[in-house]
Amino acid sequence: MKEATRKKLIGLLVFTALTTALSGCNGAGDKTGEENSSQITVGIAQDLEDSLDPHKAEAAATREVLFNVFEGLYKPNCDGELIPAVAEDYACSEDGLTYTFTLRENVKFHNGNTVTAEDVISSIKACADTSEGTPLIPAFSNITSIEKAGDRTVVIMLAERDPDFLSYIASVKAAITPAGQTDADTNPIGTGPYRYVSRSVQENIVMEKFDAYWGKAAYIENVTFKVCADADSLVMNLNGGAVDMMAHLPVSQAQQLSEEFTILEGTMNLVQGLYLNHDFEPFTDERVRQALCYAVNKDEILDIVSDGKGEQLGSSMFPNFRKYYLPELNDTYSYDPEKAKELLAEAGYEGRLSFTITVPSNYPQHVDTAQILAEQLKEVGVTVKIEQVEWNTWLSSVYSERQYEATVVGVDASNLTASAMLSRFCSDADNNFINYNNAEYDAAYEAAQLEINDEAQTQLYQECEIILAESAANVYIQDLAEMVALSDEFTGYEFYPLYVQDISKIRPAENS
Amino acid sequence: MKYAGKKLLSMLVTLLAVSFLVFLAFDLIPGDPALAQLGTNATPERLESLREEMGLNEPFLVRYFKWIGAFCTGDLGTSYSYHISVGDMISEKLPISICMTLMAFAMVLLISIPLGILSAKHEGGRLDTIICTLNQVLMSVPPFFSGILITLLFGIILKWFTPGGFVSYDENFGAFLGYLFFPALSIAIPKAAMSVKMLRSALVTELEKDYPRTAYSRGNTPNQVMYSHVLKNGLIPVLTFFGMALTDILTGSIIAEQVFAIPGLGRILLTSIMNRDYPVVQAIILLMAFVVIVVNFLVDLLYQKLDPRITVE
Amino acid sequence: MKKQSVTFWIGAGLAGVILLFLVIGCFWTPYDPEAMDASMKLAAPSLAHPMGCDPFGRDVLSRIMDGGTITLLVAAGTVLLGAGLGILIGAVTGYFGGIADTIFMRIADALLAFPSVLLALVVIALLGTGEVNVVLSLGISFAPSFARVVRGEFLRSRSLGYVQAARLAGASPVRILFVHILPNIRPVLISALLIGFNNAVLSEAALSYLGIGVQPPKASLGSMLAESQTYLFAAPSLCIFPGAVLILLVLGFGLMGDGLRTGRK
Repeated sequence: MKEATRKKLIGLLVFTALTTALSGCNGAGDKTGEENSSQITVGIAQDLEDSLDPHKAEAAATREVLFNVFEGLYKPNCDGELIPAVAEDYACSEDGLTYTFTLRENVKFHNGNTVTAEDVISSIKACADTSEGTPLIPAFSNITSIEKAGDRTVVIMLAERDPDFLSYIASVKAAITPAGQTDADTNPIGTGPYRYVSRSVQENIVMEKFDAYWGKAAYIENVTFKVCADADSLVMNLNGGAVDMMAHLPVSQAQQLSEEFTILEGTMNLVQGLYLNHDFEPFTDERVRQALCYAVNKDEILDIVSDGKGEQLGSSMFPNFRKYYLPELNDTYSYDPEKAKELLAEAGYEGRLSFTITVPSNYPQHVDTAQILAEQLKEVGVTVKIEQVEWNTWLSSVYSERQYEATVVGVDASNLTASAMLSRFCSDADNNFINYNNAEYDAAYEAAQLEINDEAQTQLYQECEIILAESAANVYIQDLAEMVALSDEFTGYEFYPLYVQDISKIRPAENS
Repeated sequence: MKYAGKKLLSMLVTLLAVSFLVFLAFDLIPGDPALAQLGTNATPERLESLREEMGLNEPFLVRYFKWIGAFCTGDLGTSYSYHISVGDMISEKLPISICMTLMAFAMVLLISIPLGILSAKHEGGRLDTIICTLNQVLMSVPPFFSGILITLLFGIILKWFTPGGFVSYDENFGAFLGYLFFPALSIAIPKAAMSVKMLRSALVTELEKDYPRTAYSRGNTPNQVMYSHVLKNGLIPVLTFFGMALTDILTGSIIAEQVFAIPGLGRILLTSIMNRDYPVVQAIILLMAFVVIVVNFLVDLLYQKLDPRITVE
Repeated sequence: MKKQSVTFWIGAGLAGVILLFLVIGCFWTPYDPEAMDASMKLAAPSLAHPMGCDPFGRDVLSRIMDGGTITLLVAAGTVLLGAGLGILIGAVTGYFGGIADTIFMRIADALLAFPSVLLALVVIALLGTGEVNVVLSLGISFAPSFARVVRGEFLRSRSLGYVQAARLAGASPVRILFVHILPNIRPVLISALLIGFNNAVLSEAALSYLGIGVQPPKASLGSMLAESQTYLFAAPSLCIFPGAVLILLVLGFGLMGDGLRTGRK
């Protein structure tokens, strides 16, 4: 008996010795201690399958990374305010049609050149070019002229007043790049706190601290954005120590991370919902749409998808928009399957409504939500089929061609203006992918656009949100919980109300 | 020589057929690559000018011949989504896939030949039974699942490697090979199990023939009989299988790359399929098929060298 | 001889038990395999749920019984399609030879040059996802290897005495192919079918892992196994049970094939 135990123990010891020896030699190549503390590896869920030219980059995932390389004349800060960047100040004329930007002195591009008024003019012009239809930034079709008025002064004239103009100027898309650059697709040169070094397809994007940055320098010397495309193996990769930081984690994954990670909680700043195609016969009936709203149990969805985390929504606006956001709209339809059945019966669809939810397969949260919706709608006699499609298929058949019945997706805002969320529901909007057509809404939105007084305008935008909620434009669900895992070795992560990762604020934790 | 010539000709025909099939298949896939590239930015004008620029408006055969012509001169086109040359993209990733495939293949050989011999030598014995049972079990595990189990055991519990901590070959070649060890192992295990089985049965068949008995009667030891007589003949039928194993290793690498987060050709292939990045997909598929065809060709040649009785049918 | 049949019967026993379990699943499952229950999310195995619950609070046992049926259907469909096409092409080309033989075998060579998962990937990219397309894609990619095996057998058989006798007796080619030769190559066919079945189960699992197999809310053993990776730490039971059922099923069929092959010798 004793003998056996001893043998076992020795076996165990030999085994542990072997493992430590092996892991020891492995550890050396893996992390080289203090001198390397100013290196961070940030996981990104998908490669930037996109142009690296900020003016052309379309995917939110690309903009989120390029935010560290590029700046516009202004840029947003973590409170959602617009702060001067390449410009140090601006003045707007009384009528709101003339913007005069004063450039900051001696702002350097990553190639060492100083930013000139010409660079600014060519960058804005690239985004406002109408020769191929809608310009890259649609709102810039409003620009009538961009002129140089002195070495450090640029004047932009608008055709119509646009209170959101500065927000567009501050987006990554309107970044300032060197005039006459021809290889912008593959060699991004900006003015941001980090300089682009290299990329390797499906592997990583490497950046280093830009020493001649005009503003507060970044803390960490080297940043590697590592592509971690497979959501299923993500938890293992994080726990294995290959990645120091990862944003947009589903709650279920964040919960399985080891104690070496701090989990920061926020919201994703998007409106997740069951978006309905209003050209699909049953959904033209408001009662059917309302029935769907009553039939959906948001509590259960949040419980299953994200352990109750996240923010329930009732209209196309999320909480980080603060002044525009109306929390009470969430109560427009409280869970009531009986009421749902009644409404369906009234509309003549009792027990015979069936439709397909087309959902992009690369977003596990949306796929999960679609599955739960299908199950909940079964309760009120609605048959739902789920069709998973690739993101590109989704973009072409759902978003562009509008050939779908319903879809679960998250709609985000490309900048912090109310119109970024609301303009798409105007009946004639290019991106009105749900074919929403409501004269009352169109009128309310137009009135809001024309309003000069900020308070009155906010109220009009809120009016729009109320119309969306009451006409059950879509089945609004939630602003998804955003989980950021940050290794204990780092601190200083800041949530933005936009889809960006600001690495320049992250610094090594003091105790390490 | 006539044999080699005929095989070479049939190889070229197969190559051409494969390239045509690949091109045809991707031409039939629904979805517009120009639209995919523009995404939400698409306007009719921009779409049309991009289609023109990408050459999508030309007739099918013209595009095929242009493509295959360019392919032969080494011009693999430009990736729709990354805007970089497909040739550069592939050549950067090629070493990863080559190393992993070779490692896995070496493992298959290193594991299966000794075990196959051991098993055949002890046919019917306890060792043989253990090896055979283990084989059957290992062949029944889906390849990605064995990869997950390996990650769990060696990566998370034992910490012998960092899951997801892939190091590029130009950064640190040693660490690069070190990281590839376990993925290669996960690919090799099922193939090795199958090879052991094949080799064992081939050797057992040979051992039952007359010539080993003659060799024994001339005073050879069992080892001498095995290594200088039976093994050579026993390996011939298994050779074809080793050739096929290489094909399966290529498939296996697509899955292993996914499990172990390795940015190799398989990963690029998968994402490119999802992004409708046709130039990349076509180039990689064609490349993989070429490798398989050329390997089969070499196996055929080797076959004849080992067993001169094989001639043109 | 005796030992081989032991192998066969162990395999048959294993496969039989699992098949029985899955066939019951066609008619009865303890719970509705798609019914969700937030409070039972990722619940550990208990008396009420012997295999625990998945992230949606669905009963894993019920899902395995249900998903296993889909796995079986997909595998059977694949083998039927692959073997059907393969036998037809292999029989005709092997028996008649000539131009058709050369052309078909070149095409088969071309198709064999694609690793089967890769070929399936291309077909699915072409047709879209879903069980039927999985069957189609795997069936097509399996057909050439069946065709090769069958062709070899027919090539060998056509000069044999009984075939020549049948020909002299005036039997039509169709009759010779399918009534005379086919039953005689049965042993080779059966083991090819068993191997094909196993490959189909494993390939379906691989496709599910790559996200292009059976689509939720439906499940197959392979897709359940693939999904379990995310919850490896929080709920290991999610991968253990479907994994065990799948491995035992494949193992059972593998042993049966093995027993048949060595038993024949």
